[in-house]
Amino acid sequence: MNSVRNTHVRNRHGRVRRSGIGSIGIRVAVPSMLLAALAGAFVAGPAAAPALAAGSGSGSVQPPTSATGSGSSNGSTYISSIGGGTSAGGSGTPWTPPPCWIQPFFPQTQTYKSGDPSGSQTTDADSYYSWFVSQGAPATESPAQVAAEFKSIQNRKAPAGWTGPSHIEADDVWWAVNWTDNTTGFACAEGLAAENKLSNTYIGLEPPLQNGQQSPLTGAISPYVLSQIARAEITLPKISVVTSPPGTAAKAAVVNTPTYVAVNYQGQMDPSKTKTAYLWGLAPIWASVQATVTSVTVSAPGLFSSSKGFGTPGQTCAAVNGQATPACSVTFTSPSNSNAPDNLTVTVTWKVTWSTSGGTGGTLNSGSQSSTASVTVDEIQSQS
Amino acid sequence: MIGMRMRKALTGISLAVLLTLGSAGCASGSGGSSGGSSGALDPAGASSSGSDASPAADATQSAAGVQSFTFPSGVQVQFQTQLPASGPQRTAVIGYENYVDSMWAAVSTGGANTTYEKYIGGNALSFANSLISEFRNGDDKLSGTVVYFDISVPQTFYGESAVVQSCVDASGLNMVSAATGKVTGTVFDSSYQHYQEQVAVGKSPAGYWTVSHTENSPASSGGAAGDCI
Repeated sequence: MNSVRNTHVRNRHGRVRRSGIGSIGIRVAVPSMLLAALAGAFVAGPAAAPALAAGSGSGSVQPPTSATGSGSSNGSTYISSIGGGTSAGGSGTPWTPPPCWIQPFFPQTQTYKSGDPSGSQTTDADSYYSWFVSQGAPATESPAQVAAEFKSIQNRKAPAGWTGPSHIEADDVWWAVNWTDNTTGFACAEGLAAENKLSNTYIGLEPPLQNGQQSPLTGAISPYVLSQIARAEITLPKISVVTSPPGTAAKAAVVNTPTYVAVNYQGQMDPSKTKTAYLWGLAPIWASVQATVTSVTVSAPGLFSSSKGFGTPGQTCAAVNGQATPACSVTFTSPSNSNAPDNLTVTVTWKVTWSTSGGTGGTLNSGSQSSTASVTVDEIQSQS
Repeated sequence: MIGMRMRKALTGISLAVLLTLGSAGCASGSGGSSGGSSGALDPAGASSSGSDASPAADATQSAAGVQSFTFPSGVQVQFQTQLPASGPQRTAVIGYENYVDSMWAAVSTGGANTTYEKYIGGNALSFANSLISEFRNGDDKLSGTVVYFDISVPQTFYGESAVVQSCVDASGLNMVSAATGKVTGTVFDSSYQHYQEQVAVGKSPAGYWTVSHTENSPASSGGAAGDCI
C-alpha cells in the first residue's frame, strides 16, 4: 500500500520528513492562508452508488442511473450554475464546482481502533481507506495487511516501506481526497490521490502545517476552493409574480389605477452559503458566498405609463405573506384585449460576492431569474 | 463456434485488406464469428479480435492492454470508435473496453469467466454482478450484439484517471431460453435499449486501468444521452 512519495523535505517541530524518490511534484498555489485539519463535519464524497433497479421485464435489468449532471454529498445538492437552470427565465454563468480536492480528515490519533474498518469514511484513517476501496478503487493489499499497517501507525510505529513523516507524531494529520460529483468526482479523486503519492495510497499522513504555511499537496483545500464549493451550493430561489388586484377576469387590474406588483421568492431572497474547514490547533478557514438582490425590473411593453420603486436601491418589492403591497406598483394606461390578458414580466438580478477568512474575496458573475404573470386590465367607464 | 469482439470503424478498409489481415493474424478465433465478419481490426492498427482461442494471434493483434475474450456463439460486442492515438485517453478507453468485454464475457458464460473482477469495482461491479446473476442458473443464455459507439474521454486527471463516455445500443441483445432457443426477453428494460454510459476509470497499482463507477442515462431522457440513438 505504501507508495513512493515525491521528494519534499519539510521541517516540522525539528523533525525532518523522509525523502522519497523522484522530483518535487507540481503543487497548486493556494491563497496565503494556513491550511490545516478539517473536522468530519466537512465531508463530502460520493453519494451511495446508484441502486441497480429491478427491470420491468422478465430477466431485464437497468444500468445504474445517472445523476443527470449534478452530484450530491452530505445531503447538499450541488448545482452547476448560479441562476441558470433553477427556474424558467433564469440566467447566469455556467458553473461547475471543483470536481475534487484533498483535505485534512483526521488527526494521527484517529488512525485505527479495534474492530475497524467501520465502513464509514468519517471515523478514522483505516476506515476511510477501506471505504474508498469499496467505492471502486483497486485494493492494494489484503484487509489484514491494511489493518496491520494502520494499527502500526496508530501506535506511531512506521510500517515497512513507510513514506510518511519520518517520525510519526500525534499532531500529524491524515489528508484524503474528497469530491462533489459521482463519476467525474471519483475519477478526479483517484487521479488526485495518485498524483500526491499519499503514504497509504488513498489517504496520507502529513506533518501539521504551521500558521501561514500552505500545504504542498496538489489540489489541497484552500479558502478559495471552499468558496468555489460554497458557490456551487447556492441555489437562487424560484420566483413568481403576485399583483393586487390579482389580475384575474373577476378581479382585474384597472386602467389608470396603481396595480401593486411584488415578487414571491420561493426560498431565501438573498441566499448565502458558508463553508468552514475546522482545524486542529489552528484557526479554521472559511469561505462565504452571498447572493443579494440588486434590481427588480417589471415590463409589460406599452401597457403602463409609470412604475414606482422598482430598481431603487434597497427596494425589494418582495411579497409579504404572499401578497403584493403598495411598495411597488405599475399603472396601466389601456385595457386588455377582450380575449387576451396582458403579460407582466418581472426580472430579479442578484449580485454574488464571496469572501474568505484569508481576506480574499470579490464579485462573481451575477444571476437573474424572471417570471411572467397574466394580468387582465379593465377600463372603468362612467355612465352619464 | 466462437463469437467475437469486434471494432467496426472500418468503413474505409477494403474487404481485400480485411481478408489479408484476417488471414495473416486473425486465425481461428475471430474468423469464426457468429456474425460472419471476417475479422475485427483495431482501427489504431492492431486487431482486437475477441477470441482468446488463439493466444499467439491475440498477442500480435490486440492493442497493448486490450485483453481478448471469448464469447459464445451468437454473442458479439462491438466498439465502433477508434482508440485514441496515445496518452491517458488511450489507456482510459482500453480500460473501458476491458471492462465492457470482461463484463459481457462473464454474463455470457453465466459467471464462469471471472476476469471481470480484475477490471471492475464499485457500483460498476454491482452492476456486472446483477447482470451475471440473470444468467447464472443457466435457464437463459445471452444472445445478440451490443454496440458501443461515440466513445470519448471528456476529462483526464493527472494522467492517472479519466472519465469515459460512451453510447450503448443494447437493442440487439436478448435473453434466449436454453431449453427452447426462443427469445424470452431483452437484457435491459425497455428504457435502456439505447443509453449513454459515463464511467470513472483509474490506473490500478498494477498498471492497468479499471472502471470504478458507472452512471447511465437512457437516450429517451434527452440531453447528451439523446444522441445515443
